[in-house]
Amino acid sequence: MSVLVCTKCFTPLPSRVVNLPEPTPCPGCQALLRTEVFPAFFRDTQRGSAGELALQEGQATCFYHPQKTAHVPCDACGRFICALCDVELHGEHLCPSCVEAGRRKGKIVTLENKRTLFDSIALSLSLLPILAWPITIVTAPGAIIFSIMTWKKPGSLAPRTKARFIFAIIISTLTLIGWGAAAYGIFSAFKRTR
Amino acid sequence: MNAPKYKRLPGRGRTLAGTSRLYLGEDHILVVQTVGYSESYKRFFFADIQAIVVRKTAMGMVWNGVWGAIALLFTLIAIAVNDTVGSSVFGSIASLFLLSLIINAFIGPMCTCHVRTAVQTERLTAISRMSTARKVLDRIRPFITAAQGEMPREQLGADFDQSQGIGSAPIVAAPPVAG
Repeated sequence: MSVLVCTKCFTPLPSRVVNLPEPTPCPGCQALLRTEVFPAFFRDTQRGSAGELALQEGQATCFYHPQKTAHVPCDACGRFICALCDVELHGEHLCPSCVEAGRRKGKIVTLENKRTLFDSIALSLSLLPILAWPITIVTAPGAIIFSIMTWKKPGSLAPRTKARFIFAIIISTLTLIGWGAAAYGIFSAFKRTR
Repeated sequence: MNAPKYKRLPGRGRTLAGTSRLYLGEDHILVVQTVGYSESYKRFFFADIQAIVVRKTAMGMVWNGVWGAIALLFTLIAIAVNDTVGSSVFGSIASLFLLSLIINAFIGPMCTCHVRTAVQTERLTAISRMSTARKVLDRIRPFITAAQGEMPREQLGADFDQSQGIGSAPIVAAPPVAG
C-alpha cells in the first residue's frame, strides 16, 4: 500500500484531514484539501496467477502454454487457457488473442481508448471551406458523401446526436444549391447576350 | 457487447492539449479528452478508486486580479478620453471584463482534483472549481460506496495513520463501566 500525499507538497496526509465535509489545511503546506478515502485504499493488490504446471500425462493443457494446466476454455474461441492467459472481462473468460482481436475490431467497447469524431469532420468539411468559397464546389459534395459513408460508423462514446451530420448535409446542400443558382444565372445571362 | 450508457458529469477542462469532460458509466467514470477530431478515453472503475484529493488553488484569485486590472485600465481610459463615443466604447470593453470578474468570483475558487487507484494518480483536468468538485463527489460517492462498501470509521484512525507512516493517534481507552 503506497502513501496518500498532498498533491502540492507531497506530505503524507494524516487521518485527521481525510473524509471531512469541508476542506482542511495540509499539515505540510497549509493548502486547503478535501480528501476522500475509500475502502479500496486498504485493500491489498492481488497478484495474478502464473498458472499451474501440468504434472500428469493426458491432462488438458493451455493452448498457449502446453506445459501448464488448462484453467478454463475461452468463451470466444473455445481454446483451453491457463490461469496466466485467462482474461476475465465482464464475467467472460477470454484468451489474449481474442481480447486483442476484440480490441482491434472495436467489439469490446470497454477496451477502446480512442475514437474518431466523423460527425465533426463532416461539419468542418462543410463549414470551413466557405472561407475559401471557390473550393466548396468540391468540398460540399465531398461533405455529403463523407456524412453518408460514415453515418453508421461508431462515433463518440459520450452521448451525442447525429446533429452535426445533419447540419453538414444541410449546409453542403445549400452550398450546392447556391452553385446551381449561380451557374443558372451565368448561363441565362450568357443566353441573353447572344 | 452493448455500448455502455453514459451520463454527463459537471465540469469541463480546457488545456493546450484539448478539452476534457467527465461521464458517469454503470461501473466507472469515463474521462474524455478531445484533441482535434479524435477522443481518447480513460476509465476509472468505482471498485478501484482508492482516494480523491481536491486541492484549492489561488488561480481563481489570480484571474480575479487579471480581469479586475484590465477592467480598471479600460475604465481609466474611458474616463480620460474626452469623447462620448470613445468613452462609451472603452466603457463597454471595461464592463465586459468586469462581467468576467463577477462571473469568476461568483463560480467560486479554483482547484485541482486527483483520483488515485492502486497503480496511478491521475489529475482530472475537467474539475477546476471547488463547487464542481463538490457536485462530482456528491454524484459519484454513492456509486463508489455501492462498489466498495462503507468505509469503517476505525480504519480511518490508527490504521490509516500507520499506513501513512505517521505516529498513530493516541487511543483513548474506554471509560470503566461502573458496577
